[in-house]
Amino acid sequence: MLESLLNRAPNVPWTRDALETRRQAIAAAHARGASGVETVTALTVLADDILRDLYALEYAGTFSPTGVVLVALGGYGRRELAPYSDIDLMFLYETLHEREARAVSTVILHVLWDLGFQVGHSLRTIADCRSMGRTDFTIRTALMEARWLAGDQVLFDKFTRTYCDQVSAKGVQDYIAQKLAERQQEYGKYGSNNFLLEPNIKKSRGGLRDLHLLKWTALARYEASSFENLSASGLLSAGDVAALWDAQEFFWRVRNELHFYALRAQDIVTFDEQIRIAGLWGFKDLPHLLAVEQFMQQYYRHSTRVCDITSRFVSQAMQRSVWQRLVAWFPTRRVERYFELTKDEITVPPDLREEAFSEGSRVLRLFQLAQNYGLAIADDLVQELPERMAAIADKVFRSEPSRRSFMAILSGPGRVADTLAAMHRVHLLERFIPAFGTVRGLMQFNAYHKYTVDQHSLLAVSQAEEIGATNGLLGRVYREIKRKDLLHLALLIHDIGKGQEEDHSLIGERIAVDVAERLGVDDHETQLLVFLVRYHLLMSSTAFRRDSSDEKVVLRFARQVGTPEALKMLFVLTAADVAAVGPGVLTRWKETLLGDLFIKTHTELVGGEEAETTYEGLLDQAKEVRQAVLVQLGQRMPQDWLRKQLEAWPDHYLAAMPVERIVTHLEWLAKLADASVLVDAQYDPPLGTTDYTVYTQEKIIPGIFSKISGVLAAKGLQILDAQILTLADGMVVDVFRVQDPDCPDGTPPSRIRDVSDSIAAVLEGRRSVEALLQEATRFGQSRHGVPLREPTVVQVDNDSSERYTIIDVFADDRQGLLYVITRAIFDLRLSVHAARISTRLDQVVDVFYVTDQAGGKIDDPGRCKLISETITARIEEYVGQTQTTRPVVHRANVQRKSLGI
Amino acid sequence: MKKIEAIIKPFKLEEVKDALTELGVYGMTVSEVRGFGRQKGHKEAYRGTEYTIEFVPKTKIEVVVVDSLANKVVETIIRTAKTGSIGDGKIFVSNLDEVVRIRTGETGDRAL
Repeated sequence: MLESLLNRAPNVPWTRDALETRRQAIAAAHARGASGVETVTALTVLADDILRDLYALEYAGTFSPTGVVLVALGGYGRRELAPYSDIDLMFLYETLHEREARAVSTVILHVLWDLGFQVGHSLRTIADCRSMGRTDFTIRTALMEARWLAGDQVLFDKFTRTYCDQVSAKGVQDYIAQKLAERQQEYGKYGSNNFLLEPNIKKSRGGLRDLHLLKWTALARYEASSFENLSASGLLSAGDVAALWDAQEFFWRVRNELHFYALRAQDIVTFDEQIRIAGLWGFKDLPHLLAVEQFMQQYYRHSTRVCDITSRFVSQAMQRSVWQRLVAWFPTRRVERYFELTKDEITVPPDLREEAFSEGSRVLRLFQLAQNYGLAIADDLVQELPERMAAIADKVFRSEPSRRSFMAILSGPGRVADTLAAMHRVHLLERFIPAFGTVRGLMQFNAYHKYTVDQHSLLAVSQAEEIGATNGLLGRVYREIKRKDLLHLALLIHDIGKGQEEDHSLIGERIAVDVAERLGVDDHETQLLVFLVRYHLLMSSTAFRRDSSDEKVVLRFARQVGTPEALKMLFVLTAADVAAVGPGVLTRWKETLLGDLFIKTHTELVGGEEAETTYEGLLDQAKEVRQAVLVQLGQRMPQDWLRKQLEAWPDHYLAAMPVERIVTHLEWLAKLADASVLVDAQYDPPLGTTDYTVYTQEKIIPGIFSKISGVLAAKGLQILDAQILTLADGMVVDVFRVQDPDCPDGTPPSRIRDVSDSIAAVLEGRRSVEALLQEATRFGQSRHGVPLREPTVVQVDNDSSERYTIIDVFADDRQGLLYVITRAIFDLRLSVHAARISTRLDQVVDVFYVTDQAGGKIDDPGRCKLISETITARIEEYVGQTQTTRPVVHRANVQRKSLGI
Repeated sequence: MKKIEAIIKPFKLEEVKDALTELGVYGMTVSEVRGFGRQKGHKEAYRGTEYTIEFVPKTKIEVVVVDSLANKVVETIIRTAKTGSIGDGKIFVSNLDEVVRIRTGETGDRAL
């Protein structure tokens, strides 16, 4: 009897055709819209039918089927077969029936192979299962999901009983830890971020395997075999269960489609497949959002939920060892009444939560403390947060304490990106930045980006933080940035306008205005933030696609950026944005190009090379200079007067100035006692420039700087640089370096004398600037046509200098414009301490270091606004009147003096 | 067949690419490269600290064309990539023995 069983050619009822017919029927139902669960169930039933038929056939009329049982394992055991999934089988037998088991397995396996199934199989006794299940966690997992298919039911029941008692209930902790470790390894291979653009639906993070992990953990820890069981025992919320079902259904349906179409176990959702399935399932391209992007946004929503719920659930199930719990519990500290800090977690005790979060801003405080102490928020609390937050009114997030906490989180230092990501996970970020909710899981369908918009943005923040820890130029610039909160905020929202029809930079600009308003940042900061978002692509497009050795390119860029602080932020933002596109995208090549443009632009904005000495070094230097001057002049001048003047001389000027110049200045000042104005002019033939140094008394002549500018303008001179020094007893030394476009071959002494006399005449009140200007116009020098107008930009910068408010002016050049600007500054009752004037091509880029009359910075935002508006209006008015412009000399190589400020 | 490699200034890439496409060059390989020629690396100062740029960022394009097109390609690259200032780059032309299109196994001119 046994022989006949072994030698008999199987009378196979199942042919490939028969199988295909059934499978096609299932595929057709799927195509008509059958759900994922219907399809996997149908496929499981099909496999069951085949196996039961084969098994029955083998044993038909031969002997009663005892001692052998056919068992389905793994995904097949769970009834979750995808069209081309492997089929995991076990032939379980009692020792006496080994031969039958071998015989029947051989026949069945051959038939299955011939039918084209991928089969995993094993022949085991209950004792085998026990011992293997203890040591091999993969086998243990598969056996947990065992399902009877055919054969000895009594044997199967015996197996489940012993197996559960002796294996599944033991070492649950190790088992879960091991499973988690395996999963981590898989993340390493298939993507540790659930926002991969071509995910593996089974193995990538947030995919089906994470659902399995949850199921295994539930089985091992709680002997719960369904999501509903977990919900009934309070381990998962009803919302979580619904989300898991939805995700599972979605994944199954996608995976079935992938398999049916590829006719094999194809689990990667490739770009091609994304487009095909999106079209197949009726997603329509919208002008701003492709069908495929809508489809993948659904995908990412599901995978994010699965990822979140699973990691929460699994870590909950991982009971800590007694020791770990002790360590965690022992040094508990309580801060601010509600927050409990342990070694690695922060939480609010459950009985205090209601009270603590009745004040909504404490949610923010929780994240802030977690950031400051470098702690994770306890899982059970995280789980509750979305629900608790739903109860908090929007106005709470606009309140001062919440805003402060949020800005503090953005400033760091440290763990800024981590904290923001945690806030994003519990949907807290979008309470401050509503638009952040709309880019959740929004993919960017191009071969360039690797992450969805929200992930990319968070990653960009973390890249900026990493840049800050590096040694090179980028790291240094990051560390110099004063308002890192604004930089991080800009990074967070720079792409937030994506997914809509309009240019995302423009939408982003409007959102930035809104965000700034919500967060209550002031006008100056708002301007900066809005600029960074609006122009976040400007620096890369300039660095990579324009010739940065062309002055015009650098100048235009400098003009758009405006201030050194904005430039620094844009530089780091650009690099972090590029780096957050994907690993290895920010190459040394790109870094070098960006750095090159940065340095050139910085030089343009700040002027020359700033003296980079330490403060102590500077003091020493100044001391030496004072000593040297005293030695030279001590015999000829009263010591007391010399010392008083030298003390009043700012250290940074002394340190940066040759001793001879100081001596000259002092000699002139000594002569000043009688005359009210002295003018010293020095022509420098190699440079073709003339330095006019004006010595006078501040108190007798208001608006000195503006008046001198007026005279020089009236005389057709171009001012390259200006320095203003106010010394003891109100004595003033103003140095103007000018170039004379009318005398390209050198300025004759007569002209220098004429200019000097005019300066003295105006300062002494014998003539007016207006009269001189009119005279100049009457003589009507050669003029060029009207150039292209660029809008006038006036920026008030309080960030770049410790002592001075800096006014940057960008405008089209006109003769006399500097006079108009300085006159406006004078009328605004500001003192100019230094200025850098440059006219490049036909653009004016003027920088003024000013204080109010008491010598302080202008901190009041209202006053800053007034300054910028007044100067702009004056320039516009003036430029509007003068329809012509002076010819401009191109001076690329003019040496500019360091301002040393 | 000739292989033409050109090292050009990065911002010139698009101009060169467009001009070559117009000429009928069907394919091109582009890479970010760094190096130096007569335009040695240079130093940039930022607030008193010098940053040495030993290797200047350039863009390398490689095209393979039939012999008859080679001169035109070289002329076009010169015309479009030239700024007249130092560091405009170089063009290397070499003879090429064989080309195979992997998918079809076609060789020679047909594989271009």
